[in-house]
Amino acid sequence: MIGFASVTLLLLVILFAGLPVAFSLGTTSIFLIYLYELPMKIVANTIFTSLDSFVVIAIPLFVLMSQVLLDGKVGDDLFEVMNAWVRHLPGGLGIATILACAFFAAISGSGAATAATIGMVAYPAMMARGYEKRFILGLLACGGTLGILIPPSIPLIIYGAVTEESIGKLFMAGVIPGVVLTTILVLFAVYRSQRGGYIRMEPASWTERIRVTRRNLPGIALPFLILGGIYTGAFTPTEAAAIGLVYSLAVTMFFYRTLALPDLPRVCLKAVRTSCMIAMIIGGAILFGRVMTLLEIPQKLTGLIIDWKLSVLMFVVAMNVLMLALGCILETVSIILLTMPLVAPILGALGIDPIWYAIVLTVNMEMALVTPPVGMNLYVISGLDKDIHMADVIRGVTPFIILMACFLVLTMLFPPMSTWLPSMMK
Amino acid sequence: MLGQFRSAVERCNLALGMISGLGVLAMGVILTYEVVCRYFFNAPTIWAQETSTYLYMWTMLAAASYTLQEGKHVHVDLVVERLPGRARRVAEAATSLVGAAFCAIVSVQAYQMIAATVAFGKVSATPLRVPLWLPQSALLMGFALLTFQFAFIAVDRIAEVRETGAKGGERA
Repeated sequence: MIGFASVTLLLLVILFAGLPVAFSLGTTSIFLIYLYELPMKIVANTIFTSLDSFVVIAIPLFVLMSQVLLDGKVGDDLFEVMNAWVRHLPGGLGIATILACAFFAAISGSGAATAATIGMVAYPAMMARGYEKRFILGLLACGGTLGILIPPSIPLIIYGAVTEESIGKLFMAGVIPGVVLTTILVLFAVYRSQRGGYIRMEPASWTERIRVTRRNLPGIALPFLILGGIYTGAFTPTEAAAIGLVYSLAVTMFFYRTLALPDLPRVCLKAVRTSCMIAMIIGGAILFGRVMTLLEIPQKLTGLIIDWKLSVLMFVVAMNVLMLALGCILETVSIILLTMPLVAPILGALGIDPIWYAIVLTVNMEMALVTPPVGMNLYVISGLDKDIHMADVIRGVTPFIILMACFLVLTMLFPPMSTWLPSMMK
Repeated sequence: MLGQFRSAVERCNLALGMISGLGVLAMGVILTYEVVCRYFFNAPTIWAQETSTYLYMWTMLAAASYTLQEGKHVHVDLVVERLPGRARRVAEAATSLVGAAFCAIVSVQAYQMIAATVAFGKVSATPLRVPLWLPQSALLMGFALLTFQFAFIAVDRIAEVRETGAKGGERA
């Protein structure tokens, strides 16, 4: 017990001293293996097996697709289309920003990529139209988090890989909550704009709307291709990622002509850093999880929870509080990988629907993306322009965090919002 | 001598990063080809899924050291970035040494795993019957490069700490 406590302490020390998460988990695992005389050969074996998975291949493919669309300026086009339709409404640019985020979220699996892609075009546009700066920053940081709730979603792929749930069903579970959260954000943007602080715009003519929409049709078709294919079972999520990638390349290189062949190695290089970072965390966390399982920690933990006779709601609330705390200091991939091997058996024991829990967890992780001090989207947004200060982003995001907390309660109270659509799949 | 070795490793990292990036692209093309074959020619391939899994292992492991070189592995900088310069470098040196040690252990274990695979002549349990040392050697290569890269970072930070220490001494 003392040994175990000191190893946990070691993990915290090296983690906060700045050793990357993947290697911190690996190092801690080695100490535990040594301490409890487990076979050392599981180290290479487990890391190797963690990479031997067809499901997780979807991650580098989705990451590369996002990068292609970002460098191919498809975000600008999406924003332009949304703009043409809603800019004359009160808070029109705010609505266009959220809708563009939601749409890009249906192509990308990452919250940071969504915030970066839409932020680059929406921030200057909203600033020029007199919107309040903090409101814009909060809106973009929070709108970007739709990236992980609306499928495809990298956190949901990882959740599926750990719990062996169907990625297709997990993706579909995120659709309705994603639409509801988008609606809530749109309503909030309208409400805020009632208090003034923006310049109203002239409506676009119908000819302009149709012209803009038609010109950007290939980009608009992408989410329908990806999600439609997965929903009908025409292809697996991994294949959908591959097709989406090839399609995005074709569209940006031959249709929009925003990317040229010589750009490709640079685009791929940028994307591979993110995917590799995720793959390494998966390796480290799966090794850590394996050691935990060999030490029977999940079983003991499950036994404890059952002994305490925690109700489902109590357990889920407690988990959410823990996840919110973790979300302040760690990023989403690490949190899911670190906790799910321990939580999954408890879900089974308490009879909790793992698909519903996945969405509750994902909404919580959306908050992790915007809660200081460590929130990936806060950094992305403060990196948009050199005039943006972190303090302003944090202040701007605060009302949105409250809004998202309310939405989190909503997903907890109404499980069918998450589970109905996947139950309709074959 | 060490400088030459180091620049060789760093160039190797960048080259592997580039190749890995294009490797991910290749995975996308292969899997799209598979879907096209299945739907339009009603002839699913037996190799696409397995090959892309091997490509995934190779690309992710080959890019690991490059990703470290670029400082893109996620780490918690909450505490470290609040430390004064010298303490931060000490922390970075220490964690890099820990990282190097961990990666060295994995490298050794990977080598033993590959040796056992070769000795028993293990192949994949699929129609392709790929010798398993092929994907497994990615683990050795990736973690060997990571060991070097962590060591280089540690050497740099220690040198910086010494330098500032010496300057501080002169002033005193």
